[in-house]
Amino acid sequence: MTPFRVTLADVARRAGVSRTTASFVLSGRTDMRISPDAQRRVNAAAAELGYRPNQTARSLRTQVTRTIGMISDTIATTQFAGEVIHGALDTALERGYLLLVAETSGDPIAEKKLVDEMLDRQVDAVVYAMMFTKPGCPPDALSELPVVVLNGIDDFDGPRILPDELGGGRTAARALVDAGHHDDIYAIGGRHRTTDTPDGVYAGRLRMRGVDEVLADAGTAIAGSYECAWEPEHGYEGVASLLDEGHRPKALVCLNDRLALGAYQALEERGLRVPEDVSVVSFDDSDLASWLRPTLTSVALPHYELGKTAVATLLDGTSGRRLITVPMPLRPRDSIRTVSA
Amino acid sequence: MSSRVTLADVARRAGVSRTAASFVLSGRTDMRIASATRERVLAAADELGYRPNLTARGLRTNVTGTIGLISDTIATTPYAGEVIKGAADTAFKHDRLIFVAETSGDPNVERDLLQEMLDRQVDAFLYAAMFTQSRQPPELLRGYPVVLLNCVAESFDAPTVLPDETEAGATAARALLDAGHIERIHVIGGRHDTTETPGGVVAGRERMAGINAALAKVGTAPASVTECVWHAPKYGYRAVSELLGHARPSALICFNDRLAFGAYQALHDHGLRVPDDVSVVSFDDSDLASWLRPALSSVALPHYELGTTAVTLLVENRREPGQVRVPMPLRARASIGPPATT
Repeated sequence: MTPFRVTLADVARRAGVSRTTASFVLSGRTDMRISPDAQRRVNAAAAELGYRPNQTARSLRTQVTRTIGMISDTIATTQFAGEVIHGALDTALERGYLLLVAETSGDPIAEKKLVDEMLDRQVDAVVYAMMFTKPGCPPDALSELPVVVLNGIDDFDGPRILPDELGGGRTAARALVDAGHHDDIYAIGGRHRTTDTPDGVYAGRLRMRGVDEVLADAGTAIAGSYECAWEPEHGYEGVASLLDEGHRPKALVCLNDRLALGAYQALEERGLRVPEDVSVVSFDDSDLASWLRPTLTSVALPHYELGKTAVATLLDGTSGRRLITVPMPLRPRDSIRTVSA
Repeated sequence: MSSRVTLADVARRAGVSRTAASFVLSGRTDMRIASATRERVLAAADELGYRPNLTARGLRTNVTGTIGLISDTIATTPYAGEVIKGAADTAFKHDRLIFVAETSGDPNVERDLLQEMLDRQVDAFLYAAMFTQSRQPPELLRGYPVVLLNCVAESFDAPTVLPDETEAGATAARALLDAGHIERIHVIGGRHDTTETPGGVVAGRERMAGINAALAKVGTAPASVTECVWHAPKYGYRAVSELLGHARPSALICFNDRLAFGAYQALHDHGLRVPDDVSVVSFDDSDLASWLRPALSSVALPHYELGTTAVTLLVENRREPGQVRVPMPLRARASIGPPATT
């Protein structure tokens, strides 16, 4: 059913050596003496025939399959997940590893079955990923494998990789302060305090803490924070209600690009221009940021880097409890006006 | 390395030979085994939580229960995630896992990746493009179970899963006709006939054919077609800004939601309202469609269904070449109204 594959026996036959000799040469083992001539013949035969080792057979012997499992709560519902996978794939492939990708939709039963399926295929290591920063820990079944947790905020006995949300918050506020903004700076989205998340979410709390720190250093503070979920309609409602209540923001810190889209819509409806009347800075640096008119200055969520760092950490074999934060750089565009003092 | 329960553990617990345990657990019937023995083995396997080693089984049976998804690009389209999700969900239902790999369209990367998958005895392949286009799968894939997803290959015999783009074009046109538009319907995007893709792309040509056919049926035709690339709103903005310099459209058919976003921006700059002054219909039904104000009526690209359909064909071992077309439904929102009275 499957096409013909060159075997070790074929290489041995062509080189005129035993199967054992061919195997020792091709696996680079040095615990058997093999003449340089035989080595040369085996390598030449392997090259001529296009021989590739059978990883399935090799993995039975070495217990290494050169595969990494990526178990994620959700792949499809965030448009950034692709970049995480992309970063992980690139790094894996560079080192001759492949990535098994599976998603649990947050269902523990699906997760258990998936973990079993991956263990059945003897994955060498696992990236346990959440698509945004939140609580979560890998299941016990994974405890005997090297695991890194991506975006998980719960304590875990191994490496965890998170975006530097606090630094990101500082960066956003600094972009406004550096442009001369001081008063009438409002936050849209805030800590994401809603009925479902009364204490806010991790990213919201840290970003806001960073914003507050930098504004305090500059001798000012947020004029008001509109707490809501982080979708465009909420950004629209937040900005519309601020304006209707008579607030006159000079600058908005939108907690993500979707909120900023909603903010743009509300400002536009009321005839206010970005950045002439109101400056806007945001987080994520998604496609939306470059699609808006004027283009949006945004602090990037480093999705590609997160995926890359996760796989690199696994393959470097460094284990132990620790936190690795990945910087969130500013992508300056056209939505912040420089205010003369 | 790990405390995995082995076949030997099961045999020991059941008090039978390793061979007998293996025959029972693999369901082989070519050796006579007493039913009491069979029950003891099954009970022992159950108690110990035994699971077969698929790597070892792969050597014996050449089946590893894995499917390779090879795609040109995953990251640069936000929709690809849905294709992967559909494929992974369906594979998982059938106890299979998906290797995901992306080639960025580079044939060398593609060959390396494919070789890595073959080294791990991947059973079957999905060869995918992230928008409908012509592609040539690598020669290495010949002879393996393959389903082509979202791409058309001239000389490669395999089942091909594609969105029904022609019917989608007709659906978009009919949505406007049903609202009373008949003249001054302008097309933004078109076949994607650009320097890099002369003659356009498959999705563009087929949608155009569907639009033309549906309009011809009622004796009309597009008032103009602006050919441009589709991947960013600015191209839609530019096309519609130019159009408004010399024409007053009744309705726009934008070839994806990003172009429609740009169209909204240009209409707004000209003081024109959607749908009061100009109706807009689009393709993709991405997140953007529901984010725009007013929300955008869009003909959905069925990404999830493309993934599920393709894996189902693989799992059922359907090998006969031919096209399977997945319907593209209209998601009606608030961007289509009756023609403005001028």
